[in-house]
Amino acid sequence: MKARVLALAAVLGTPAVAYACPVCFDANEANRTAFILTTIFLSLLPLGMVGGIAYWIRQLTRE
Amino acid sequence: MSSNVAILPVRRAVVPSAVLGMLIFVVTEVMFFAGLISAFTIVKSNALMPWPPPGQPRLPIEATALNTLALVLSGFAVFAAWRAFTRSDRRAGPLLLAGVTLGALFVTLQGMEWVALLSEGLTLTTSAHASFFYLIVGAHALHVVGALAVVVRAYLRLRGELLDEPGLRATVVLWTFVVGVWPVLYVLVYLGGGA
Repeated sequence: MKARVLALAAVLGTPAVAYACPVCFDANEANRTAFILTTIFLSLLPLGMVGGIAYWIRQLTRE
Repeated sequence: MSSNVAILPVRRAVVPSAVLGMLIFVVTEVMFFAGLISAFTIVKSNALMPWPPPGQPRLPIEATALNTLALVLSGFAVFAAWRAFTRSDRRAGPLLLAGVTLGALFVTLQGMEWVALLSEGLTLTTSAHASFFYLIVGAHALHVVGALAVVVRAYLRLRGELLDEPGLRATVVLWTFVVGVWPVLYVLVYLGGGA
């Protein structure tokens, strides 16, 4: 019980180091924007390509 | 005596395996270059000095623009060869050969560009910009050489009357990717000045 209270106090007392993303608080605005844009780019690109191929094959099967 | 023979529907592939396999390969290649582009963009945005750094040998923007034109023309030539092949047009061979020649010209001129830049002192360790230049342009050059070998193989098979349409179409998919990704890299690496 005592260990849990101490662990909770440690987490609540040091919220600044508890960020999940190490780059979400970069002081450089251009760098932060680049991270966000490239994350979007790399997330959507495979979905778009695989989706595009799947749609193309579906159109072919309908012909 | 009655025989029970099941009549199964004839199954036909809507996309030839060679083409589908090449498309899947190209998807992985697109992700490879997307990773490089993303890393380049992030490092560039975090650069503490102007991009490219002052005092560094200048990249040959104009000469590479002409080189880019040669590669794009080779893409059109290989595509036209495929169109000719599907119409049993005898110009497919010469068009494929033109595509190979223009592709080889691109690789040769890129090699000469690298030799000139290295002699001017631009190496992999000069700066982050130089590192990315050699990494991205070098990765693309290796892809051009590999894809060129595939196009040459298609040409030789065409001459030996062994080439089939799906095989040539798969070759066109690969070459189109190699040609299509280059203008993006050119704009990014050669023209992407400013921090």
